[in-house]
Amino acid sequence: MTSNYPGTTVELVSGVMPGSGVELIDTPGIYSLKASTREQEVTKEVLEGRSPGLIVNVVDGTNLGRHLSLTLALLNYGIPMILAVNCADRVRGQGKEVDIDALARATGTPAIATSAMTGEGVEELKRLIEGQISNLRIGPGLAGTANDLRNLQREAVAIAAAVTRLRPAEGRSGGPGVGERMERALDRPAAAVLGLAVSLVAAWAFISWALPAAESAVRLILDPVRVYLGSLLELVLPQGTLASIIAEAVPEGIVLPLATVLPAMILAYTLIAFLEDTGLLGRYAALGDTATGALSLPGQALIPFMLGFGCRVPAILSARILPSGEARRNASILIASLVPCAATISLGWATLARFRGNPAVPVAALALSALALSRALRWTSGRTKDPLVLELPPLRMPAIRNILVKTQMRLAGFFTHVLPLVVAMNIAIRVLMYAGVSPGSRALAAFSQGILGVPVQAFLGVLLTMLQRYLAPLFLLQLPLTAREATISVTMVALGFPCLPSAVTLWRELGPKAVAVSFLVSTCFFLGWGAALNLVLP
Amino acid sequence: MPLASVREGGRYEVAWMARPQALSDASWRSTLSRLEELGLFPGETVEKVGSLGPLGAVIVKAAGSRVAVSRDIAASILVTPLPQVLR
Repeated sequence: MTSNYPGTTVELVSGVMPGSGVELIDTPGIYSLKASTREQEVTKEVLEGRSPGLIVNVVDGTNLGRHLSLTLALLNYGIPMILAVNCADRVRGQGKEVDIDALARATGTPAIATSAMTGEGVEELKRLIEGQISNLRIGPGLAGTANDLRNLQREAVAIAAAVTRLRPAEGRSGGPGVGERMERALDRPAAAVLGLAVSLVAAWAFISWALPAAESAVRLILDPVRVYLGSLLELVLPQGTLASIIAEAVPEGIVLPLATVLPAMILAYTLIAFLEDTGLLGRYAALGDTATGALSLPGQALIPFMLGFGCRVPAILSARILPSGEARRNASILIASLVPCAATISLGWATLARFRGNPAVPVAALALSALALSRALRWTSGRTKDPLVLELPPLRMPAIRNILVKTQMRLAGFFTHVLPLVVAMNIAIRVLMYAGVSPGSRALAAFSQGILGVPVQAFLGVLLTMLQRYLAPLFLLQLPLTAREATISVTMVALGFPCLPSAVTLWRELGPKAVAVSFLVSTCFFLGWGAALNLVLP
Repeated sequence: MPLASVREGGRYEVAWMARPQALSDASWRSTLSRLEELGLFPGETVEKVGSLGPLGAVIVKAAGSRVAVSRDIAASILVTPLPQVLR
């Protein structure tokens, strides 16, 4: 699985060729075997540990100078190899051609021109693979040494120059192509910032519209099903409070992921695949690097954060684009705990407007908490952020088929993992709420009024709204609140723990520990700020 | 002179890589090998293509493709100008 962005395949993907039964192992894209990154380690393990019978080295025909150094290093392993000179269509588009025979002679391996996009050469490559496998010749394993890298690169550039030449100019337009001109345009800061800002805002606006629309549509269709399921369960289960909780929680737990999580996942994965394929992702990362540095995160974090202002579910999913596991974890926790989604912003705004609360307070609380949390997370990771060194792949039109396939692959596991998890968590939360609310209400009221400065109904409204944002109009907005109480309540909701869909997404992406951290952190924040504001506000 | 400060559009030869104060040993070593893989090491020719603002990343063309590096890294790559080719 590849994309126009370094870092898509970091694990191995393997499959079997239909017909011949040959097993193919897809390794991550690398430029050299100097094992300093996970991608290189994984590839070296395959080469040295799993005795492959054949290496198919896929290189970019438009950039042979960069890619052939790996080819030369691989030759040292003595494993039979086929060189696939890919992107043949783009080579032609650039007005060049590669002398395949000369390249084969220079490297001593069979070479063939291919294009994954047009399918050119793929059948021939399959036949070559099957042909070579049947004449197996295992050579001694001699790894290329790290010191040779520069010599390999020089040799690679020399070979590339020798085999690439300009095609005779028949109908080729002079000057740089459209792609090259767009890239040069994006090299200028003003154009780059403007272009990327516009597309980020457009993406955020689309998400803020599309997700609630999808949710309403799905609920409209599924509501009758939910009610029916509920009454069915009530009939079937033995009488009792637990039964009525389950009868309500299970149907809701089934509808909720279909209404909110699934549309968000589809949207997020499609967006990421689009950004990867077009090559825009690298440019965002480069652009955002200075800003995200304030939060000790790499530039790619710009995207999950922007998405988070729309909805946290696609934001947490898109954190996969971050280059390191720690960056991904820290960004996800920051987003799940603190970034206000569009629903939060709109209900916060409505509440503050209604009761004349102060919007500066929640905003300041969020900003300060984000800075503090990012410092704390960086301190626990033990490492400062790696400086930005990123290859910017060429911009190109996205391949729709590619995007669809990638999105579909990433959506696997929704019905088997996400859905049951939401049902379970929904039941658990409702049991807790029912158990916690009735007894000890006086203690709760004292705590709520005394420490936090808000009436107990408002506090309960805050808690419920944190879990499911669309409940806000039913609770917070119905109560009589003073301006001060409204300010404190909205700040608490903004800092509050992750809503159920985002908690489930976080669980699926990073595991229960991350969810626990997020809940703990946000509880400390919202109670801490609530109490502090109660002391400090006039 | 550091890559961060030179004129855009010019072609340069990488002379020296100086380690920034802020980076740890391990971090600098891994950064160096990433730079090496992308064709940024002493003796190589690079073209400075643009920069994303006064504090932002610097974009260079090295070994045929574009690479973006942070400003700190660009400040630690010291280059000398290549003689201009007369057209």
